[in-house]
Amino acid sequence: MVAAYAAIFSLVGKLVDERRMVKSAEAASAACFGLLTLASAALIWAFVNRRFDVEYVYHYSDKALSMFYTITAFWAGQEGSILLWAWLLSLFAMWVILQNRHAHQESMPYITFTMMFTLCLFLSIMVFITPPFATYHFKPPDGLGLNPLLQNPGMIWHPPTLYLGYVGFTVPFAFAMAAMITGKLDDTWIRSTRRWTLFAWLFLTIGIILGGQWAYVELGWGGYWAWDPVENASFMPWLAGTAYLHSVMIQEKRGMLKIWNMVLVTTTFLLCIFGTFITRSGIVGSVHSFGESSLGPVFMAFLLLGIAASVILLLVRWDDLQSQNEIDSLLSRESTFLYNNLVLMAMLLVVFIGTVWPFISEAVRGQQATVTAAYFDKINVPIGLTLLFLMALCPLISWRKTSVQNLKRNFMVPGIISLAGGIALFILGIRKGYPLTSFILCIFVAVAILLEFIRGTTARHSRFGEMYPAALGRLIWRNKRRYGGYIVHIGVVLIFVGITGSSSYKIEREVFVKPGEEFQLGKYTLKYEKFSQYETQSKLVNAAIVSVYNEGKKVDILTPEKNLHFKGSEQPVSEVSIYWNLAEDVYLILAGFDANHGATFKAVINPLIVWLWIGGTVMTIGSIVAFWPDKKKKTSPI
Amino acid sequence: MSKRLFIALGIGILSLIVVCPWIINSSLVYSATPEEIETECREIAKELVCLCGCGNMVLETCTCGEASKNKEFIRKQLKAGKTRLQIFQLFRDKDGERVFAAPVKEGFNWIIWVIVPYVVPVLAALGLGVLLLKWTKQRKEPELTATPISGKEGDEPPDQYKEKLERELKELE
Repeated sequence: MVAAYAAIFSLVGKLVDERRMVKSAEAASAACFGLLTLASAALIWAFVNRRFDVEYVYHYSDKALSMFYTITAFWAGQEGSILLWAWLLSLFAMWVILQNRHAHQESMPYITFTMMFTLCLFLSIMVFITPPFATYHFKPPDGLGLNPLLQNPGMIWHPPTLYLGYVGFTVPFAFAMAAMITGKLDDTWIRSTRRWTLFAWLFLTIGIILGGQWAYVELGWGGYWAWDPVENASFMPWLAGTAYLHSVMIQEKRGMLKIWNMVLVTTTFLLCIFGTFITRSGIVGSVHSFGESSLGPVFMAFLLLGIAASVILLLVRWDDLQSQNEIDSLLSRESTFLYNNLVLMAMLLVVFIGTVWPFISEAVRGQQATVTAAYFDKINVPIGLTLLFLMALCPLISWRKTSVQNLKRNFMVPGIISLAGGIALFILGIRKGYPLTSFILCIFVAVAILLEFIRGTTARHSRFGEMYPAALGRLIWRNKRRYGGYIVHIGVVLIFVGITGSSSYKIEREVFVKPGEEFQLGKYTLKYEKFSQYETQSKLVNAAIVSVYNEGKKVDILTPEKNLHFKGSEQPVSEVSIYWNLAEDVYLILAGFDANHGATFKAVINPLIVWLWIGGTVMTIGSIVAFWPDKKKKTSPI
Repeated sequence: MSKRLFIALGIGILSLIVVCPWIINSSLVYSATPEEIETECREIAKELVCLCGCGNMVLETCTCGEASKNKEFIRKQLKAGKTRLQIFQLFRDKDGERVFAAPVKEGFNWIIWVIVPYVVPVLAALGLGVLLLKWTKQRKEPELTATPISGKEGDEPPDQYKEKLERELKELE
């Protein structure tokens, strides 16, 4: 009711030019945050106090569940996660209102309206479809327990970071809508939302990487990304958001691509809603989805409304959104950003069509189809390499125009080093086309970016006489956006290294061994020492103790498990065990065991995979650097 | 022996030479080593989905009982001499097209294999190329009469201008 009040009063207040109504709507938005904070606190209280008469608490916790996971169970199911989403949205809305209390007076009512209208969607779902506070008429003695797959540290960080990303994109979308409604289409709205966009993108990135890491250590199939519809649902807005982050720079610097930026910011937000629709409607079978529900039509209706509103506003403002400038040269940074956008959009299109293809196939041909990694890998690998190539090109090309001589000069060192690296890798045995290309491009990008840092640091050292570390620090700190971006790109390179190594040179074996027997996995010898079975409060643990030897030297003891949980899951749950170093992971799954303790192991060597997680961390650091606000300049009073 | 009979005999022998290996090959059971069978089984299992409901995992990675049963079925078929295509057909007959990890490359499915990943991006790239050419051409036209003050076009500006430009760009950011 309060959110609906805020949405209606901000819009009507603006239309009838009644400032008090707008102010009242802003106060109602703040009240929404207060009420939702209270609701969230109440749900956490119900979990902590084991109030199993609350249906949601009954379904997602039990007495044996540790306090840690009892609190994170707040977002384990549909009801709680929608409450979390709504709470975050109300927090952001209040933050935006406070941040702009003396600015954008023309646009703020529309911004408040867009955010509150979106909040109304989530609140109406909470009230009418998935109420988190539905209660039983009796108090069950214990709950059903939390799904064991959700009892992992990934549960603390992955969902909230992903939601921070999804919800965060509502802010630039709301500003874009307001800009189109008011007709104030200069780059003010873009500058005002730059940090919000970076914030949302940063958390979406962290959420995706943490999700991959969680899947890797918990799901027990040896990989981290399966192109599952729910994974794709988070990757699609990330792709659109990444394209937007790049193309928006052209609008800021050159006043160009206004229509395109509107399309991108709208697409990013709508893809967040589409992702939610996929995850929560139950239309796709996924290990990550929330199961079947009646939320699908509501999200679909909101999605259609969002598309219709955006398209109508874009058409109305089409002429006003025309560019003030034009691109000077085919070989300029602006052009490479456009090529980069094209490639990102191609990947987005492939992921989107691949995700919805089962429905298209069934609707058109009446034939069910499955689209898995077998399709996505085949198509996306060349697209990904093209993207890497453009990433290599971009820092070497100047804004507006680059001469061929300039290009040659900038390409020389990275070109020679990457070529030499490529020859060395070829000699070392990396001879498959895609991996070799990927590694060469990775070297090229890394060298090109490192040279940027070296040039800048050297210049500061010679000009100001600063020590090299200080010069490097100041170089980054004085131009956080540019060098933060470069750090993000280094992170992407490391991720490419991890993906290339782990996908192209993976070694897998499935073996049956008895206690005392050994088996070979690449250069490692794995000895199945013994079987161990014991009971804890919540599960029956079946563990295999396996020693890992490298060239005769014992390097680790692995204990993969296959556990039977008394609650939360009827299926046995695998707990993988990993020995890792910077070169590779030895990943061991206990696939099965017999009465005589003979065990079937699935053993995998995932080369270079740790670089994927390191790359993710570097990307996060780079984003934080780019996000970090500059000190406000002191202005002397007139 | 008449000349005609000699020719007929020659054709007959030649036909046998051509046809025999094919007959022998198709009638013999494929005798692969256990390692070869395991490798081939893994390759086939990569192309098929486990329909047990564990989220579209391919048979190769899924560790559920259903996946193990299907992998055993593939091994049995390989030992019986069936080819990869024949095994795929067996699964298709049993579970339909959804058993494949990727849409079969035929008919309507060419949209997802060719049109979406190649035709659309190529057309978009062409469109972008035309747009960029149009823009750059428009930019060049008035410059025809302009005389550069110093240096060649596209050269790096002198240091003091470069620094000024950097400073201004930084301020813009």
